[in-house]
Amino acid sequence: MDGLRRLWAAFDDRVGISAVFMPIIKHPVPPTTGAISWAYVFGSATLVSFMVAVITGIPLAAQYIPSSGQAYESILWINTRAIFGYQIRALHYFSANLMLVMIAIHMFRVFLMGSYKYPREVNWILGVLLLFLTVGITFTGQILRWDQVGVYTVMITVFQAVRTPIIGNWIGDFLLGGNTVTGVTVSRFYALHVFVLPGLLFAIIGFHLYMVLHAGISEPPKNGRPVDPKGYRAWYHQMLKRDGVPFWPDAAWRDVTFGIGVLLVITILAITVGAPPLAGPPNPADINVVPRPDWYYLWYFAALAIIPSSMENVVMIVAPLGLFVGMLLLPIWANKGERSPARRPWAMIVVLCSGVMVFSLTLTGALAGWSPRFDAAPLPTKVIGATSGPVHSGAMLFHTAGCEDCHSVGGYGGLRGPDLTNVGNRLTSADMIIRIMNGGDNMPSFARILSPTELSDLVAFLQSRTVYNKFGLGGQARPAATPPAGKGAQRWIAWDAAKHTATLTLIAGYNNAIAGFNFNGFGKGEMVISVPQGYHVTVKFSNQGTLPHSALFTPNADKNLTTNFPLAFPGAATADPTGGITKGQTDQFSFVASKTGTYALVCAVPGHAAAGMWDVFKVTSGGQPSVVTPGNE
Amino acid sequence: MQEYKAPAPYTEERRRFLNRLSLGLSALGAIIVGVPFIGSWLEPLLHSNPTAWRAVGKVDDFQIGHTVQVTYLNADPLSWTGVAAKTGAWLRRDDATTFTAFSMYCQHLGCPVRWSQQEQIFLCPCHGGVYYANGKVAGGPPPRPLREYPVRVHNGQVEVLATGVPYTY
Repeated sequence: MDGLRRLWAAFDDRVGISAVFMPIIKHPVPPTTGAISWAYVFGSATLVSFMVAVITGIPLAAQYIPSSGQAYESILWINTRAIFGYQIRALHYFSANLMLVMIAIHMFRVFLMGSYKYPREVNWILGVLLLFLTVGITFTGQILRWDQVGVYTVMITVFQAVRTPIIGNWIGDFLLGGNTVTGVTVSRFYALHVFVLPGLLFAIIGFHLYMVLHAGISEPPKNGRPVDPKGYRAWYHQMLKRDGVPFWPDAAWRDVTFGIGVLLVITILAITVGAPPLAGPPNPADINVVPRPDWYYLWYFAALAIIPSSMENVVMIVAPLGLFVGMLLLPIWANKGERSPARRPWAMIVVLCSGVMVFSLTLTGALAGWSPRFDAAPLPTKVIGATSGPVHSGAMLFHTAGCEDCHSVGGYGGLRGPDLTNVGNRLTSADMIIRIMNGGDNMPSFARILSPTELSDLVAFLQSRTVYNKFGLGGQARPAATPPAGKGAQRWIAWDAAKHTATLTLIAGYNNAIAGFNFNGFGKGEMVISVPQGYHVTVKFSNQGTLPHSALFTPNADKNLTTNFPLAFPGAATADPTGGITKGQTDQFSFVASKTGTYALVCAVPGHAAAGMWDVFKVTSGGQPSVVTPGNE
Repeated sequence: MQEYKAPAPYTEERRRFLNRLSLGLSALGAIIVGVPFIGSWLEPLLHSNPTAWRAVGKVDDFQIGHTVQVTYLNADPLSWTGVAAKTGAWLRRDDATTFTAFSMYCQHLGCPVRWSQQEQIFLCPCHGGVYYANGKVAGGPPPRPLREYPVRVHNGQVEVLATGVPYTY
């Protein structure tokens, strides 16, 4: 024992561990107690994750072939055949995951506690560099999988980078190692991932740790104790002299404990979840790929998808650069004053908003609703509600013509465009035809693609998508509009001569007369409705036809218009004259027949009046309300 | 031990000179290793980008009015690039002698677009970009039409001009 001790003493004398390193290891740190003392462990946890990544990266580098042609085969071999290969990939992947999570928490902690303020500005700047290097090293790591997703990750990166003004194309060529995927593409990312970025990380981590010693670890913030660069250093050293505790072991035990905890989490995730799956070979000509970033970049992927196109260059180039520069400048801009988060509401808001943003964008990115679903299953019969006829043919077209890639019905289909489960309640046939033929916003035009029959089948199917359908009533079984009891044309109108009120019942598409373009079975002026001047007329309107219809009273001279009918009296139309209501729906409106004359009752859905869907409305100077039709029926 | 005889110290002027000399030599060293280091990384920007006509099939292999995917070697393959040297295009035979080729890379972010014969559109799986049969943007985020590649018929073979990935602005 004594011999060992003397050997150690001699070694220590030559190497200087006690003389040089012990003061560093045992340097005084501010005393902390309770929960706040655990806030300091995330930096070392980031370092632990990085070390695990480095250690697991070495055997991977020893087995991986960094060549565009062989990388995939070698990683397949690592994944399936090499002993410990799969496990080491999993450990490497989750150490990178944890490194990102830990560095994010660490930075939020430093920001919230104002630890970046004087005299620790440089250390914050080094931390920002470390953050962006970490992003770079995890990103290049994803590419080194060099599967089908890896090769398209490079492609997507290049397409983003080239939007940089002036030097964009150069950056693109620089990343690819040419202007296309070449033999050196993987080698370049390999050199970045394995030499350049880790080298920079090591160097800056060293500087970062040195700065922790030089500037001293920040004491927990306290309300009303702002940082004043003038006296801070003297105060800090005095405080350390009076209350300081040695870093080892008083504070270091927490770093060690938490660091080992992180290592355990990495291990457990590696065992339970395993290495990230590999897609097919890196064939840039294979279209069967849906590139997705690893989960930690889903939020950025989502941001790119949901922003307006006009803002893209800003979000792709200006935002990351701005974030980088802004974070670098933060301690220069605000290096003194309050450190306590309770006194810095804006800091709290920034952290909360970024947290909520990243979280919600990650969820959005995981769903990726903007991506067409090429693999959407055809609609089942229980959703279609028909096994033959136009509704059925339309439903088939909905799948085969690709509508279902972007639109869903009854939970089937893509989320790129609006859900059409109840579209029959929202849009008229005319609206649908206009939209399908012309396209709009993000929808292509199908004008030259669908035949007239296909179009009408598709519209029939879409018109049958209503809430009634949802309740399993099918496209046909909707409550029919009931005409008033009795016989003769006069049953369509009821009145109270004393109160000067009349109630008119109108059923659009009542039967097949004039191809359904009729009110109560009459059009082209066959029905003449009269009310005396000053009567308050209430119209009970319903639609029984397959097409959407409306009712509107317009001056007689205007009945030949196709759209934009003027109102004969204020309020003398259904709620949506141009769109109309669909089969089975009802509407009601009232107006005062204030002026004598001859007017027209029209369906104001474009083209319907011209097709014959108009009748005559007269306001007489006396007499009784009446409805007269050919044959008085 | 022999007595240590201190040499005459350098003058301040000499120290200034030696300071500059050391810094200058270090800078020279940095340049000597830095130029090839940076030059090698910038190699892709320095060499010219070749193009090449690639045969994609006989004329009669293609049906008039149909758009099909063709794959071929990119313009600048190195022998060890393997399957990653492949690239492709959407080729349509317009009539007996004319062909149109569109890049298969979406102009938004470079994902591979898919042609739908039924819908007569190109659809991108990443962010839902849509193009008409003529390559024009029909919807979604793409900022410009699909890139068209030159096509020719040479000795009965349809040939597409392989260029780089069409990302340039």
